[in-house]
Amino acid sequence: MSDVLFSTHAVTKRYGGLTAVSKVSLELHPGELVGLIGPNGAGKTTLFNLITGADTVSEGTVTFRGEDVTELKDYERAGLGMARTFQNIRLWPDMSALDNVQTVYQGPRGNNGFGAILRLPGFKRSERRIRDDSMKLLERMDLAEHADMRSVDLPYGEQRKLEICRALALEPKLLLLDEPAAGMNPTEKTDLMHTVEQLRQEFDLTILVIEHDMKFVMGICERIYVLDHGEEIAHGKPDEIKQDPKVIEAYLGGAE
Amino acid sequence: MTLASFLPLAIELGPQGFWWMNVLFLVAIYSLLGLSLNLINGYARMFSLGHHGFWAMGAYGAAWFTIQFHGHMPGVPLFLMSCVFAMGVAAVGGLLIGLPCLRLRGDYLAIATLGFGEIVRIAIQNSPREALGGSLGLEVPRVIMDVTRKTKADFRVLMVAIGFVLVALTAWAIRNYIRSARGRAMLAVAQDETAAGLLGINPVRSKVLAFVAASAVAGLAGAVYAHYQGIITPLEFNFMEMVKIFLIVVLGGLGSISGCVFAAFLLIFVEQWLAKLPADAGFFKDWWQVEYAAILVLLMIFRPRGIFGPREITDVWRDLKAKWAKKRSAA
Amino acid sequence: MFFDYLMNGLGLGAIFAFIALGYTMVYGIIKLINFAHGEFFMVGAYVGYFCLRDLDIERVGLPQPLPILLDFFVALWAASLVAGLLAVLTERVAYRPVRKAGRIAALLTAVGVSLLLQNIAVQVWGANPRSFPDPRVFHALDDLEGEAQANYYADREFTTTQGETVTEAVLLISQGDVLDATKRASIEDQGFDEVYERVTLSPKSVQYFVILALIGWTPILWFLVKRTRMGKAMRAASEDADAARLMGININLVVALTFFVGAFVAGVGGVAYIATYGKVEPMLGFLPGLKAFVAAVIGGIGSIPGAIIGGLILGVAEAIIPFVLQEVFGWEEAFAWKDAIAFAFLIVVLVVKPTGLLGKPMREKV
Repeated sequence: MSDVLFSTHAVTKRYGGLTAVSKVSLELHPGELVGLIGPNGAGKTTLFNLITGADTVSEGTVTFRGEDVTELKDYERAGLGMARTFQNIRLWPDMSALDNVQTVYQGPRGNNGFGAILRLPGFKRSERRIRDDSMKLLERMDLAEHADMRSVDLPYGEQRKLEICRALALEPKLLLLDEPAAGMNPTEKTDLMHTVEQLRQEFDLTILVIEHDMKFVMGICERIYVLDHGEEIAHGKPDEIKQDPKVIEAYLGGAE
Repeated sequence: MTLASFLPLAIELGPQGFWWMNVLFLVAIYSLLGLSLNLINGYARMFSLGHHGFWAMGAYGAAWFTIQFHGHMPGVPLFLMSCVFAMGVAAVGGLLIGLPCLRLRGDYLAIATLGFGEIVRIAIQNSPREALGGSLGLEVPRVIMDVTRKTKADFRVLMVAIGFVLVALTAWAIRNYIRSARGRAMLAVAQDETAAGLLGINPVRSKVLAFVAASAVAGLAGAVYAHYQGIITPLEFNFMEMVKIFLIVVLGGLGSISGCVFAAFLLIFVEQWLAKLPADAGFFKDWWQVEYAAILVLLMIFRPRGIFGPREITDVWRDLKAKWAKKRSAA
Repeated sequence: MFFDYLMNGLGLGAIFAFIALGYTMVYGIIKLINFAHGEFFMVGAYVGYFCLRDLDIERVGLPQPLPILLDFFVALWAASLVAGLLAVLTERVAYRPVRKAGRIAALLTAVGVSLLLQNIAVQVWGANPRSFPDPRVFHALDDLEGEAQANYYADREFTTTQGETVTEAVLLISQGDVLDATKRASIEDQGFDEVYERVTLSPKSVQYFVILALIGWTPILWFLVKRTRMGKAMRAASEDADAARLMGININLVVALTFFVGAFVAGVGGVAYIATYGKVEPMLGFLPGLKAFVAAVIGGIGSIPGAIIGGLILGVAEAIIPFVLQEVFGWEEAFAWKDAIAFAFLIVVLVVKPTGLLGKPMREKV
């Protein structure tokens, strides 16, 4: 299987006596759009944290683009092309929408400290490129009119979109979306669904998405992994998942 | 070769003039200290209480360098090189304390840096007399120009000019830095470090850069201060100074450059004016230390982000003008 | 020799522990490094000083040494109560308004309050150190006869050239003087019918006293925190203040009580400190306060046993390390560097194990 972009191998996370994630193995191929679902407290966000390096694994390995990244720091993994959004929005609140994107956008070199302080021509050129490219991204997500607004002042739905926009500025290969549709109304959700589909094509992305909204997940994901109590209980095509007795049990059992 | 040979100034200053030059020079020094602390506390939102330590390192670094090379080198290059050396010493100090400590949470970092500042002072106090002068202090040879009764006024005016040139350069450099990729990364780390790390920014590098740069500026302030004073003692660089610098930053507004210079002027002017008053000048002078601490507490309670907040004074002025214009058009 | 240093260290460590308790309790609840805590300690020391000097409890007609013990008992209670009330007042006036403004604003407020209290103390009590008032044993002049067993003094008031009224002890009878009729008459002529002898407390006895006091206080605090309703509320609030509030706990009351208890024990430390070092001054709180914070961090901030252990470790380290450096490694000036050593110790602990010996690890949620 040479065309695996990303995989985890039996990753486990324990906090004291509690096992939050237990021996989960995922595999993503380039260009796939995969869903990660499960009841509340199933360990989905914890798994995202282990993948992105926000938290360290207790056991197991994470592989990205053929490289073992288990020991890498979060920013090193991001540098390899792994970007994420957050379940509870974590934009940089006092920065403008544009600056949120510009900060992540690495752009061409020549934008170092001394060039910046002395305002050298190379710096100015590079700064203009960063600005132009960031504006293009904002336009793509229909956020251009809000470019100069402080991100904390944006409407909720726009903040969610800005988070995706900011993640795209990293020019990632793998995009991890943590409940991107949370708190949106049905129309917004449908729009977002289409946007995510289109972004995958436009930016040549592989996407792993956590989402509670079944319509959303079933509608766009090619494959789905199901977690419950930190363990993978099922995985397969949306139609198979819908009928899997273990999944039904987990969801109904959770509603008890 | 001294500057006096280039600049036949022969300025005349009355006692009032001398006093004002002293105030202005100190305003420049405290502005430099405030601007650099602002970079750490205002923009990078780290909490350092060790800035007086870097200031002291700069002052003693410059003094030591000047003594070593005095007579082997012409005065003006020696002055410049001692300043560069002082910045280097303070920057290395900033790196040494920054690398291990910048992972620490806000208030723990504050206490660790405070401990560092105190260690610097104690180390200078206990240093051998022939190295750093111990508790008696260190005399800095006059290298930039001979300071005699005739040229004393020239010297003061010159130092004030140097001080404000440095303030302007520092303010300009900080402004440019903030509006660059590195600067944005620093602000991002300040506002949400976890998100910054997950989006490809190395938080430690960003913090260490800001910390080292600020230490170097504090070192520069120390160097110029040492050359101006002619004699420096370890007790000048105590924790009270740290609080004073902090008060300037808070008074001026965390993250505001012009506010910082304005606050430095306000505080130094009041302090020096009170020092000039006779000993029995009454309550305002006697209780100044108390009033000063009370101002700090009241500020924190009512305006924790500074009088004008992070806005520049020009912004405040613009807003006020807009408000007046609106009132006038309404009337 | 080594044992002496160890005892010095334990005595000092017990004082650190008394101060560190307040730091750790307050930090545990509102995550504030209460910089002014050292000043509560200082004010406690002054109150103790004035009680010992001016209340004249030694005159109570009981057999010795009961009056002296009573004297200290009253001084300790007064010091603790005033320090505790000052802490409650400070919390109400200065800290509560900034509690929501973030930790940095709160810490800076605490630095400001610390400076404020220091400078008020300078204005009210003067910047000069005052020496510790030795306990006195009073004797009516008529009760004394024959050869004097000790030096006898009396207090006299006089006016300085600046117009201030100063009280000064005058030596009336030196040890070994024979108290004959002429001597007696000359003393009576000066207007004294009563003299006193001074009881000098040996540093060692003070150290034993402090260590015993710490041993006595530990179970009381343990009981307070583990067994009483208030203690349970304190612990709940330090785990999760919002949840505690929702469960009907009055957070403001809990915080106020925490400040009170913390400063109360710091007052004990204050009296012990001036008895050990023989003087009281307005700046007295700064360095011991900082070091007590170091002690709290070493023990694990938020943990009460941690504060006690941390205090003792720091006290012993501060006494023993320079001693070892001097005696074993021949570094003559080691004692001049003891404060620097304490701060270096702090930085190392913060960097290597910021949760301390008994502290709980903290994580951030993504």
